[in-house]
Amino acid sequence: MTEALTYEWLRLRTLRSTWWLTGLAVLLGIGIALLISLAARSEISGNGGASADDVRFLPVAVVSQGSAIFVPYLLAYVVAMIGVFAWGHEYRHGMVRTTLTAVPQRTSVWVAKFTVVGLWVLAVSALTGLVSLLLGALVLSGTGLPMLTGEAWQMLGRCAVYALALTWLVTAFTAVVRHQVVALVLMFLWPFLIENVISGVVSAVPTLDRLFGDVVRYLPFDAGNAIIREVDIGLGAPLGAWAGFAVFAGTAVVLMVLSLVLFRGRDA
Amino acid sequence: MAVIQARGLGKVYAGKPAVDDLSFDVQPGSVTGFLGPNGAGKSTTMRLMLGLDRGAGSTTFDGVPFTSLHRPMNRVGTLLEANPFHPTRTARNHLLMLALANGVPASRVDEVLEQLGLATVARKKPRTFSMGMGQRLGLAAALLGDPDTLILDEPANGLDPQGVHWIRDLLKGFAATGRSVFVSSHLLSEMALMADELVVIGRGRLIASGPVGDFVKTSTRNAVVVRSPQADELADLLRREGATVERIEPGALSVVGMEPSRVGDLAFEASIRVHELAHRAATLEEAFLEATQDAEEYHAEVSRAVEDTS
Repeated sequence: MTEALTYEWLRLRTLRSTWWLTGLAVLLGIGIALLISLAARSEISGNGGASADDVRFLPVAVVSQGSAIFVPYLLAYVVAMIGVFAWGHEYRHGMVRTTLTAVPQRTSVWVAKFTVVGLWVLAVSALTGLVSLLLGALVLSGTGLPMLTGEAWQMLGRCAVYALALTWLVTAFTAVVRHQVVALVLMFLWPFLIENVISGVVSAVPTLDRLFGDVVRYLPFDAGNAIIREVDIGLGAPLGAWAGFAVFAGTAVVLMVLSLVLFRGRDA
Repeated sequence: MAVIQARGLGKVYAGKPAVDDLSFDVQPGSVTGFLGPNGAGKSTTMRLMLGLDRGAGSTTFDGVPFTSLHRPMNRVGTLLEANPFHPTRTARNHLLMLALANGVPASRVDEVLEQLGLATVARKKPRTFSMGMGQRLGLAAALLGDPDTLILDEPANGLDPQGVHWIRDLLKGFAATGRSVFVSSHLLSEMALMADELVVIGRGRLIASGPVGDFVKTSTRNAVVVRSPQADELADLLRREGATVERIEPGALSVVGMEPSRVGDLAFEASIRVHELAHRAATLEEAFLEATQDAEEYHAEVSRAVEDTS
């Protein structure tokens, strides 16, 4: 197992894409957090003080780089691509044969990939959240708004969990289809288009809505949003954070198990 | 050290057997050549041996399957077809990744880079490499752990004549120290210079295995060439004695199935004058083509059938 972890760790570090994707994710995250903080500061000073909504939503909005209130957690979608490449490169470049002649224990290789990529993504998400929150606290220090709240720290953890679940989900999907382009296209099309189309069609047609209105809440990415979303903007009644986590992480686990079974049984 | 035993290897692609109940041994201290026509299943066999392809049978290295070896690059060095490395990971980083996962010190990476003549491109991306350089990087990986067994698929591919010569010396030297080499090649003349033992397959089945000399001896192209002014008379005599005789030109015969000494003695007893008596040994190429003729015919039939139906 040590060998597989060493291999995977070196594999990850010696790829340029790991570094530019990480850099992009961090800059994007901190940039959004900074914009939110600056906008909030001018609004608060314009209003002559922080409102109850500011107190409740600003700390979680800043630490989650906006994803708690409006946009998807962009950082997660950028770093999750590192997971797509973790398996995608193996099949795109025939590296899988090199990998398995260096470390022939397939289960170890599989575990090492998910572990190393997972830890990397957790670290990127947590550190970016921390820097975002501290920067936000600095920017808003004159407003008297408390930023380092318990909710903020909790949101930092929820973002990290979301990033990990998303990464493992798309990583496992790539291992199943063995094609990084298909995986990359679908990891953006599915949550941002296909699920919306399904929910939209279902809610627009009364018959469908009656039959499936309750089912669309379990579409994995829509459900997954509940892990970090504090403001309800979805159609119908979305799931709670725990239920959302169960659906989203459950999807990831199913794909992971499938990818392990296939990886162990397939020709390399 | 390092006896390879392959037993009952088998692999079916789309309902057709690519490798069929293939068993052979590779002994230490020798270069064992792996021969077969294109599509005979050589690469598939090698992948099966390393547990990369899933199929029937088992292969052991001193009794242990490859997939059970701990830090396998220290035991078995491999080079498979089509250089698998990431196009933008530098040559040195590629080898470093393999080395550290096998407990091989980083200093050894620089050593093999030097040995393979890659020191100047160590920090370059393989995307810019020629096919020969890519092949050298693959060989560097195979030699990285100073293994006692090498499994190489077409190692001379893309190498220049100096490189081909270098690899021949390398493999012979490797075997001379009591280690095992299992190497496939479609260059028969190269194989004749390099291999001590052969495993010959056709259509995924074993055709022959054993020392190169024994294999070549099975060829009907091993002949005695005899020139005589009484060639027709001599031909009749030799045929009566059981040889297969062919007239290759006026006054010259090719005799198969009889030693030169016996041809000479029979001619002498019958008072037939002989002007030249020579043994002509078959080449590995002739022996190979003859042995794999059935497989080739099969391929020809199949391609005709395919053309007919298309």
